[in-house]
Amino acid sequence: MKKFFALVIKDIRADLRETIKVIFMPVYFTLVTILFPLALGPSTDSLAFLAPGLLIVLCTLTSLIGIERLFAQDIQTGFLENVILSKTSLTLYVWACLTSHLILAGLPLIILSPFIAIALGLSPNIAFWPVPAVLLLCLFYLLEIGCMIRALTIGVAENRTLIAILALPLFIPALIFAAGALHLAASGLPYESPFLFLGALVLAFVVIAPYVSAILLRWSIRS
Amino acid sequence: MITYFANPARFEKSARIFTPVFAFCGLILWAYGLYQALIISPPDYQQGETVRIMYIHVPSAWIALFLYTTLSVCGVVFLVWRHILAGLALRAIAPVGATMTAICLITGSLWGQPMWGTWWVWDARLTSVLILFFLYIGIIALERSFESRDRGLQAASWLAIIGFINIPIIKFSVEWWNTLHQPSSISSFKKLKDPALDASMLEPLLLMTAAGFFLTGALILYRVQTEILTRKQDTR
Repeated sequence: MKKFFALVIKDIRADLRETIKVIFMPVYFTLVTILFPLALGPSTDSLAFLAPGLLIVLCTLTSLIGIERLFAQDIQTGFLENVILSKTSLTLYVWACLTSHLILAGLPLIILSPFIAIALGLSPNIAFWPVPAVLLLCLFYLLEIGCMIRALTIGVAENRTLIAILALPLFIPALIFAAGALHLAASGLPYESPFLFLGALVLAFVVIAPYVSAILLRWSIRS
Repeated sequence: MITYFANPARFEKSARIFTPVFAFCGLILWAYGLYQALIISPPDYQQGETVRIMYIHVPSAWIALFLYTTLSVCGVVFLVWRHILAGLALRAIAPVGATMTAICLITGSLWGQPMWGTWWVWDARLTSVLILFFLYIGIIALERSFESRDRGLQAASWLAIIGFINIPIIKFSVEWWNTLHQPSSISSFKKLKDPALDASMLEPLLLMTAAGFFLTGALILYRVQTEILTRKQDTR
């Protein structure tokens, strides 16, 4: 546990040193939000109708930016190789990476999301409760899947597009449940069942993803 | 038996014999099946003549799903036992599977136009087949983007296994979000004895499916042969 927190704190500190990169994701998130009213027309009714889906799509696209950055610094500095050689469990390391990434990249988006939701025309009483929770779970799932894909493509030189192509189809289950929950919530219906399904997916991959990513990282770095 | 054929040289030798045999059987079954499907079998009482698209559409969907499963099995075998034949099979199967998925999507779209009045609907089943197509594309893309061929194969095997979670999603999606697509008429072997489909339609469908399996089998064997020969040439 001590090691875990040490790794998380190290990651957060290292990322905070490059402040500009930390604000990339929220900036992108907001920028793309501006595109929707411009492209779909400013009418609040139609925007509010589309808002739950738009939020989830935004969240998916934004998370791709974060996934590219996973492990990047540790590979550059050689820290990852040291972890592989040391006695520290690589699964624990991946876990710490996921946690720190969720805090640094996820939290700003979660905090921003109610305001974006209101800007897109959702009513405040939805925007402040289910929206951030659903987005948090959704982001967590995307991060878990993305982490495996990122570990798989470390050896590829130009891997940006490749990550998107490989990860997007696997994102779909979370997308369906998250958007389903938000749509139900937006029309005032009970949204528990898709929400809980999303939670179940997240929990299942909390177990699978770090383990698989650790194997893939070892495989990627070895050669 | 499996270990006997696991030797690439021996496999290549026997594939040389089996490829034309499979192709021949496939073509004969295909010709007979097409004759049955297009001329002998009756038009559907609801769908009319367009039901004949089914004889291409359904087999290609089955083969596409089957090939993805085979791909994942090859991936597991390649990663666990490091057997090169499994890797080569994975490389050979992926484009064939992608083509089958594409055929399934295109014929489905052609069938949907007269039946549902639209080329494409965002139904769960159609969408999941489209996702399957992109999973195939992903595997092909990943496999080719590594400089070392072996590493590409290993990465593709991993992706095939990770993507395998999509197959149950396809299966369950039909039951979860069943909207427009008709529920499947032949769901299991038990139902095969007493299917919702009449025998006059079932027979050509099964013939076309068998033909499809033989033809894809021949194609894949041929591709594996080519892979083995290319490797031999490269190591020389």
